[in-house]
Amino acid sequence: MSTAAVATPHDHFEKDSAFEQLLKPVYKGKKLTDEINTAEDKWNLLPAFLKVKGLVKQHLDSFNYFVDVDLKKIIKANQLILSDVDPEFYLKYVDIRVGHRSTSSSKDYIVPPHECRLRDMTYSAPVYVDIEYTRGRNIIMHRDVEIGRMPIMLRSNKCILNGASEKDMAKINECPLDPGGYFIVNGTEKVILVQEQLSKNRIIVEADEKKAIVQASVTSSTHERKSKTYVITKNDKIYLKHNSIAEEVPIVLVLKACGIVSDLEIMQLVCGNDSSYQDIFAVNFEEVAKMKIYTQQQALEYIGSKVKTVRRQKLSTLQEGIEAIATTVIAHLTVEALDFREKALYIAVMTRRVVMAMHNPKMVDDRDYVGNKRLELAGQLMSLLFEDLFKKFNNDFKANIDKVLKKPNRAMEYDALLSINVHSNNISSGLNRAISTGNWSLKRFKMERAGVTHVLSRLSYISALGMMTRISSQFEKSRKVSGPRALQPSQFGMLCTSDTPEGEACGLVKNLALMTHITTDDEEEPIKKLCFLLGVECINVVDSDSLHLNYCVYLNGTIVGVIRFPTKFVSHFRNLRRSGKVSEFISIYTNSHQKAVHIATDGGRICRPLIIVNEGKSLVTAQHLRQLLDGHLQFDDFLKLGLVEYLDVNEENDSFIALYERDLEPRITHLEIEPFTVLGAVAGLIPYPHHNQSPRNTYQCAMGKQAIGAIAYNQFKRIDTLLYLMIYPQQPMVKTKTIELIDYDKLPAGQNATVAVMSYSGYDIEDALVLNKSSIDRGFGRCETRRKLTTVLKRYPNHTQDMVGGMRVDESGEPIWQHKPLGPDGLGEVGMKVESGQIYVNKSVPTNASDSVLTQSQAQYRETPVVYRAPEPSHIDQVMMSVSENDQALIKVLLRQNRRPELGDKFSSRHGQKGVCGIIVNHEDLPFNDQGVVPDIIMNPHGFPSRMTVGKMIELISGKAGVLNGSLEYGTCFGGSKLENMSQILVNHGFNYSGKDMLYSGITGECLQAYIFFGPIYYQKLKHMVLDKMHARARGPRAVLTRQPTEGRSRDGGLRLGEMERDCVIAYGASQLLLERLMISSDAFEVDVCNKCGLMGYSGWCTSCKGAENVIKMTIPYAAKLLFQELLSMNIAPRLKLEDVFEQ
Amino acid sequence: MSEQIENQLFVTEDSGDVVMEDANLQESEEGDPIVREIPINLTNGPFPLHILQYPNKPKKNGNDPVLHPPVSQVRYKSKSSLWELDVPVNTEIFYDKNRAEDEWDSVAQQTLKGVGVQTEGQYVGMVVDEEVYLLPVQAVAQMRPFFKYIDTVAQSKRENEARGAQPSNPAARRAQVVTMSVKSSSEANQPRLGGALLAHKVADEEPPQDLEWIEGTFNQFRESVITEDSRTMMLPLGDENDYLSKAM
Repeated sequence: MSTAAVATPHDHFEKDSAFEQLLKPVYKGKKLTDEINTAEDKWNLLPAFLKVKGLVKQHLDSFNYFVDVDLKKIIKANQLILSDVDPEFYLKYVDIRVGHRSTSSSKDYIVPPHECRLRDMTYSAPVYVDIEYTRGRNIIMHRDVEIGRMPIMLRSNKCILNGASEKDMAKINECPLDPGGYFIVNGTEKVILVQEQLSKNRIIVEADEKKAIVQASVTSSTHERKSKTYVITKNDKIYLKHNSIAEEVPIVLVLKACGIVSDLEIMQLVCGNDSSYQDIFAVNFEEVAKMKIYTQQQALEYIGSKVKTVRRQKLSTLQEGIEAIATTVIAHLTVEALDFREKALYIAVMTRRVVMAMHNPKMVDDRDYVGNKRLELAGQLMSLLFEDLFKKFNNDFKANIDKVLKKPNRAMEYDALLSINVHSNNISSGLNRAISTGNWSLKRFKMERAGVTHVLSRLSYISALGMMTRISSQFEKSRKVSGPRALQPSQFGMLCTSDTPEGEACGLVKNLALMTHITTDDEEEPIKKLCFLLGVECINVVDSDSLHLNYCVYLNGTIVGVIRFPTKFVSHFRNLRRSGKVSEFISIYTNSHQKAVHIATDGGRICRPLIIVNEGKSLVTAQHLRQLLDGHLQFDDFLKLGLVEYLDVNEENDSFIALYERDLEPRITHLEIEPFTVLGAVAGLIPYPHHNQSPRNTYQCAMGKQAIGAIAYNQFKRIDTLLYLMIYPQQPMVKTKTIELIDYDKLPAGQNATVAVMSYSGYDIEDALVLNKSSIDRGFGRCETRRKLTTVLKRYPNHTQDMVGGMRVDESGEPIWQHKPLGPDGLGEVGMKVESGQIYVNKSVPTNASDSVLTQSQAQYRETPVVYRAPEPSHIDQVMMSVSENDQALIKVLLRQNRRPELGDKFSSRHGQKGVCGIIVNHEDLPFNDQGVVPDIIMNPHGFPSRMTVGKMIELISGKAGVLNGSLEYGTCFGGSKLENMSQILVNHGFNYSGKDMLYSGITGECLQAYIFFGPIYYQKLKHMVLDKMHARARGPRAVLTRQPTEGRSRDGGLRLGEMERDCVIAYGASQLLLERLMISSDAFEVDVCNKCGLMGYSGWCTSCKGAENVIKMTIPYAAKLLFQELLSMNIAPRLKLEDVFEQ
Repeated sequence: MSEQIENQLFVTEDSGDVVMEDANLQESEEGDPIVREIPINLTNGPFPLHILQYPNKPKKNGNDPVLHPPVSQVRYKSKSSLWELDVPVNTEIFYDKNRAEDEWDSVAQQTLKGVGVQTEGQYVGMVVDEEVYLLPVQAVAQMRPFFKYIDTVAQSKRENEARGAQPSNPAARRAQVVTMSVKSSSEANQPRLGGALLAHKVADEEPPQDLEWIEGTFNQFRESVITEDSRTMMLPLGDENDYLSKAM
């Protein structure tokens, strides 16, 4: 927009030549439609991607991998159970399946998810194993033995919703828009949050310049153990450090222990022929020479003598040394044979990296770099847990078998199958408990992790979705380092740049961007073979001298060989991947600083699809996109055709990626599919976010999750603890492409309000909003809360049980007031109004529940009704009676409240601009424009200058244009409807281009002095409502122990006059007020104090002096009396010495 | 592998591979015309081939009989694929005679030890009469010095110390409380060695085979390799359609 146009808004715009130019088809050499076309074309790949992948695909993929692949691996690793007693006996697991038997092709019937939610059950499927074992002399094969039940992730391939049509879903009360990816355990929906960790089995080099320390560390992680090995400098000499070796071992000694005995070869392996490295490293030889250690055996014995592992079986020092080198150090490379070369090379490479960092301090790794991070998903966590439980299951099973086999003469042959079912509950309950509590305790790794799972937030559709894409960091929140919290350039396109909470978790909790994929583990062996076929020379035959002359090839951090022509190798490999011969998620990149080619097949890497560019031309052409739109091609076909490929962060760094097609030039290798995919699902709701100040977008990301709206198509069938629903939700006038992709337009949370940006009364200061009373009457901001109450009718061992009684009636046969909402069955009737003090479940419990069965007496019942207590009445919406998993009757009552906005309710636009309702004004008093349109909301213009939310202004203009035009406009990030076009529409309809209107005062009818920025903005109603917060108390309950008023609104508590307020009162000198607030209105208590002994007595009698003569009555706080008595119990006698303050 | 096998059975590691000048310098796919066609024969030698690499020996030593004296004794453990070569040391130069006599039992030979690592897809090539002959390699061993004499001396010293220490402690000698426990003979309580320890145990217990080192047999070997019978005919496992269906 030209400044001239803004400066003279009163001029008719047609005279403005600068603006005129904008409207011409060619503006400054650029066609108005140029960029939009390409953007619109490519964009279609995104819905195609989401169609295949979905928003929570990472969770589903990882769970599917767990149940289909990982389970089988676990079974294989723990397949044999042998008996200590009978050497003949064995039991072998052959196969494992979840959810279906080997005999039937169809899946087992499992209780549908919604029924599990309602009945407080776990959505799970049986786990079957095939076993082979000996019974006497015979070998028996047994199929489909159930060893427990596995909680099933919704929408995974074991879920009944997998592949279900919208109609099927409706039949079982499921919402087709629900993303899945969570579990239902005991009726609650639980999400296993994605965990971010430093990558395993990779060398990380760090330097501490203050302490002059360089260290290379590697966290080895295998199925059995986790350990960390360091190569560290100390006084410029290099040592190897490991937890199970008592002290640091000189690195040369370690290499000698690995069989590299000659100093020449050590030098070659570590330094190659680089003389500066040789100078740095040479010192290390002296130390070992001084120790007089020359041979491998001497070195091994030295290490063996330092090992501090406790073993059951005694080993010689030499054997200890061999064991330490072969298995303990760098545990993920376990040596099974005589040759330690692989390990020697790994240690040498670590040392080389340390030497390189000593030589050039820039050669260190960045811990916070996204390429060095791995994400741990539900599947991996479940797999760790399952293996632990399965091992325990097998141990118990084995103990049981041994116990039976130990008996010398058994009557019959022992069938191991009989004892397998005894322990099957362990696995199911172990999995259930871990998911429902979030405590992941793994005995193997001695790991205890709390807070792994969270209850899925159903506040709004977007909050549930946001939870599924959330990534939590293992990093401690309390530590004051900025690095892990900072925005990393490498997170572009992988992690959302806006969506992070404020406060202590800022930057530690992240969200996935829209178009990402998280890899699952892939087989290493075929890739290794492929490398050799592509010309990699195996590390076992390469001599030490020529190792560093060529590029080394690393597979998942482990060196596998060397290659003379790395660029050619990498391009061959990429071609194979593009043609689908190699999995598309395997990444390969060259690191020229380390002279290395890295190949990664491990799971947990974030990657994203990009269009491949060849010689400055995008491989995806308009023709392909047409085929895509016609449904002839799918996203996966683009991968197969080699038009699109997945890149992880490391490989991204090896590529040139163009943002737009116009940026293409010969050296470019990839083209972005859509730039707005840098944002995640939640930040994608914001229209024109690229015009906003960045923290505003972050604020909106937090607030979008609190907005009340539609939750799911099955929202009226759900009985959740607390549910907020908007009565008339609308889709936003100004959409984004993300909104359409994530179906926010089908389950919106907000309404399009006509906003006038002006001052009105004094009730709009500090972001307060002025609401139009008639708009509220029409339904603006109206919402519904639904609260659940669960009662269980228990059964007791003596055959008595809780019961629900009928209603009590008065003389005229009418039910008494408390029982008004009840029906004849003693449960609240649907539709009845319940007021505070009324009963909606008339439950009674037997008084003799603890009696034994033998002394049968007539059951006596005591009424324990469920009483409604709240400031506002509710209506009974649903009553459900069912039977839970443990056969107890379960009653759920859903109470509904309908709320219209009131003073103090919180609203927000989509630009991080929140405000509370300051005043509700009658329709006739509000300003109106030429057409008679009256605003729904008046917002104070002071909200704009400091917040700089220009996006909100553009939203208003686009929205207004959309209203006039009858179209929905787009505010997509880095794109969307152009402001110029929107202004043109406004102009065409006879409005001002800038969105300003002439308004007339509703009170005086006069024209307002200024033009008012006036148009629709999408407003969200947030869950913070005055009704849930307002609280006052004159008198009420007191705590039992201290007799002080209770705390908190839910307990009808008092409002505390705290320490600082007390200080004010003291400073003011209002001593009587102080006395009244702190004692008389709180916990005043009359005590009898003996003036002789100073202790407290009672009823005018001092127990210690045995007399009543000196006893004086006085008032002290009950808490003080409690303190004295507690001190007495500790053998401290506080004695009160009383004096008269006022002389009589 | 290298074609420069001269009159020696064991191929030295040829460390003088073409040193890469510039990793990025590469011929383009188009500018790679066929210059010459050479027939390739896949043959089998009369015996399995092992490559012994000498990582500590510079290539320029070549076959100088002084710097690279012929091997005097060869021991091989077939189960563990463990090679041990004894090479006589020139005791005239760079040899501390006194120390050798005092400390190391006048050792006069260098022992080289190496573990053969099984390989797959490694071949030795030979050019005879404009034809290339490829022989599969069974294992590659890197021969590194093995200071057996130092370890033996250290071992015996320790044993002496252990023997000497015992009688010097009379208290330990007098008070002898003998506790006996009966160990159950079941297999489970036997110490089970796994992985590398087991491999070492197997290697230690295996008796070495003494082999004879013969030099100058290359011509004879070459003749036996290029015969018609030793060649292996490569037959396709599937037919053309099969291949095409897989390739598509």
